Amino acid sequence: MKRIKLLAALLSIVLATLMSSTVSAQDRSQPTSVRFYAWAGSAEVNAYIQWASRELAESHAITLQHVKVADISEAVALVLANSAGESDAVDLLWINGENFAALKDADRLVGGLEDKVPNSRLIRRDLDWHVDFGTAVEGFELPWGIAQLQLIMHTKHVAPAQTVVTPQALLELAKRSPGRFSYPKPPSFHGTSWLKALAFQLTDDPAMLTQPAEPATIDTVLKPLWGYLDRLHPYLWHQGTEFPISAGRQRQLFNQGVLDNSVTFNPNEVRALQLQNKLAPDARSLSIGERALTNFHYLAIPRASRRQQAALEVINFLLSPRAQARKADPQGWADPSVIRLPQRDLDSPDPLVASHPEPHVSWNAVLERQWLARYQR
Amino acid sequence: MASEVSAVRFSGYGVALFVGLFLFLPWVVGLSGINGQVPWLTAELWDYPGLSRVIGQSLTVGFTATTVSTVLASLIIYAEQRQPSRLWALTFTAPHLAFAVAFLWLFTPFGWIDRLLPGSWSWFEHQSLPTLTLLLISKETPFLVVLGRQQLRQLPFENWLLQARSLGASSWHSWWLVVLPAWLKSMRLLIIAVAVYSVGVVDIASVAGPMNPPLLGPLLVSWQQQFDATTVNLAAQGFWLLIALTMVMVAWVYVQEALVRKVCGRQLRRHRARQPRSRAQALLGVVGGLRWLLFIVSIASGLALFAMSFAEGWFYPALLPSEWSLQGGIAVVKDLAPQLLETLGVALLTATLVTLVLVWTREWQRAHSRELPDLVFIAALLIPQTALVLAWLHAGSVSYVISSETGAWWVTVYAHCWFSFAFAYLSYAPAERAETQDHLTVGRSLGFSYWRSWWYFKRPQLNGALMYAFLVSFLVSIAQYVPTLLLGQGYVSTLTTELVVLSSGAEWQAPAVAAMLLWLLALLAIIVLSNGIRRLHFSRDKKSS
Repeated sequence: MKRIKLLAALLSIVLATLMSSTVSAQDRSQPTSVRFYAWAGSAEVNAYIQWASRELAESHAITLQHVKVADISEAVALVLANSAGESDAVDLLWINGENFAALKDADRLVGGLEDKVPNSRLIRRDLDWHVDFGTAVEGFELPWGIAQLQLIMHTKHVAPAQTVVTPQALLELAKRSPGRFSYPKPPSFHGTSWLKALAFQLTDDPAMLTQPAEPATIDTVLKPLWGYLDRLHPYLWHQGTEFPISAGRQRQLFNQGVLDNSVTFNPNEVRALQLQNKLAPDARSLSIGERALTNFHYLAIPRASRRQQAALEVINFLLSPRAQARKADPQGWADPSVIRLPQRDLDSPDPLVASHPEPHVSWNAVLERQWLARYQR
Repeated sequence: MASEVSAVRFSGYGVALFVGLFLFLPWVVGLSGINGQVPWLTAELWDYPGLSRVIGQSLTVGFTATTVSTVLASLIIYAEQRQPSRLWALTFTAPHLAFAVAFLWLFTPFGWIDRLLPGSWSWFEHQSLPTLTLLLISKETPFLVVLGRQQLRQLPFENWLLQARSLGASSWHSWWLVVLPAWLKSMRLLIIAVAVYSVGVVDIASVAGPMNPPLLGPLLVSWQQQFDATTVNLAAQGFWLLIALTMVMVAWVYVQEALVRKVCGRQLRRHRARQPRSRAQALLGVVGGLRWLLFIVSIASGLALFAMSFAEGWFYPALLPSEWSLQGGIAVVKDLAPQLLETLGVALLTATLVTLVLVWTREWQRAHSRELPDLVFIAALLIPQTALVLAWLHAGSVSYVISSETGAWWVTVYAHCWFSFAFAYLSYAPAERAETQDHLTVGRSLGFSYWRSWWYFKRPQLNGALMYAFLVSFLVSIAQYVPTLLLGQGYVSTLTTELVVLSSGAEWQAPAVAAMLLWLLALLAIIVLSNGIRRLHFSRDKKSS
């Protein structure tokens, strides 16, 4: 009898799964369901999307499904592979940089978003978000948040009032504490960003980096960067022969005491993570040089999506003062707002430091290819 | 009478067609999706930075994990031939990823053990080849032990030992010179499965393996997920490279077996009757120590996952977190409930379908007196999973079907069934072969149909083996990563895929909860089914004694 009961229980689970699969398939046909592909390696980001999903369900009758990915390129590959026209797979994407460039080049994105999303009028005018990694946005995506590359270090390596660390100072630190520093391995997003930030600091003519990479100038522009890394690597973790595979892995190693530095693209993150007890209490954030590599992360809608109208409503909600304020909350994600939040101006200063723009997108491939050729052997 | 049973039509053409399709369709689809971009000497693949190290590392992991696991499993099987230990089950059931996450937290420099006993545990670095190899050995050895016992039971090894002893050989020599070569031969396909998995490993290689450069498995998956023309070409050419490495590994398994046969043959000719008691005793001691070591490591890993699931603010050099939060852990469990349900549902469906097809396949062979080679049923294990899944993805038919949610879900379940079937077949077929058809004959003579006879008379003899096959399918299904990720197209989210996604950031609590749930699911399955498995052991032991 017990066995029969157990069998019945097990079968009911299978049936429930099958039914939920069928129900989801039915949901798919309803215009209120939006499949939102977004990186999901952060509990705070996931919690924020859950909150947005609840809000949208209540106020807009939209079911926002967070399709969690380890890397958004998984979703981009999916959109590019879809040659069948309309699709149910991807309705909304959290992207930027080369992922955006690939989709825009392939004409896979809905355009004219500024006109279609009323809250885009609220986006701060002082932000230069119209060029994403050297690719003109042209209405194919709208900014969702601001990213600024910073180093995270233990207080023991930093003077009390210090907010900047130069590449030379970092080299000296690495020499004093061999094996304690590293950076995420390119071509990971943070790894390539690290290279770009250093290139801006080290090259003689940073303006060259904002132009398309030309074979004739590449070696000249990048020579100081490779020279610097050649000097730095012997003092890094594993003597620069192994690198954390991602910024997430590096922060794990930082928290575990394996490394003394990490990187972040969120200027509020150190304070927020410390409030949440997720980052070592003696961690501090520093800018690499006087100007920080600054970019934006965006929202875009694939042309193949059958639920474009609902996806537009989602973007509009995510750009609303309420959603942006919630996103910037230090108890949560703490991602800087792209719209002006009056109450926040009073509470705390803008966390952003002076910035330099992203290099032209063509430098990404050059930096990644040359780094791999030099250091992945 | 036997021929009478054989003549019974126990199923229609529909079922035969279904099973045939189930087994062979993936090969047809895979062949249609194979990209012809073979990496000839001029291919751009050879210019990829660090490729020689990629190949070297993949082969090193493959060779070492396969050889050491085989050697250890042989020693353990010898030492436990009379009293099989159940302690291996804990490590056997541990999903690879869950085990790796906990192991790294415990045993890497600055890990928990290092904090407890500073300076003593610096052997297992993060992102390192030795750590990955050790993890693979720790997981593959119990796999070979548990399935190797089933193979051993099918050999009349006790008679061989008796005969050898009557000729004056010691039991020690008899075992190594007579039983081992035969056991190794019966284990060939399983060892090949381990070799193929090890050389193309993706999941734990992404967590514990070297990354500059990575092993071929993770590199191939990362290429597959890119979209520029250069990387697409690299992925197509990398497919063939992985196939080539697999062939090298298969050849190695044959070489390994031949070497053992040669050494054993030479020893046999020199034949020494002296009983090396000290050597046997030492071996028993080593195996005993190894058994307890792995058991303790597994228990510690489970506890570590549990602790990490409810810990907040756990930074070096603290031995304990700054606070425990039951609420935080429970909130993550609630968040993971859909994935838990999906994992359980897919695994139960997979295990049920696999067990049904398995029984039908075996009975068809028995009823038609046609014993097909095992290779026909387990060939899925001989090709790297990543390569196969990539071939399916490139087949137009599959990419069309998985473009819808329902299609993606069923194709994923199909892939789980197909890969699980091969493992389940290896665990069930030997036990079924050992059964005579007499029970069926009795049933038929009482007027029952074939399947009613099977249910009432033959099935009770095979309950343990059936449960074992069900368990193995279940365990294989819950650990599937590459097929779920690539075929599920984001529509199918299991604990394993969720674990990888959550691990892509810096979180420790959420991945730990996912890993813990995964392991608990596996343990629950083995506890629920252990009764049947114990019965199988008991009945077999009784027969052999």
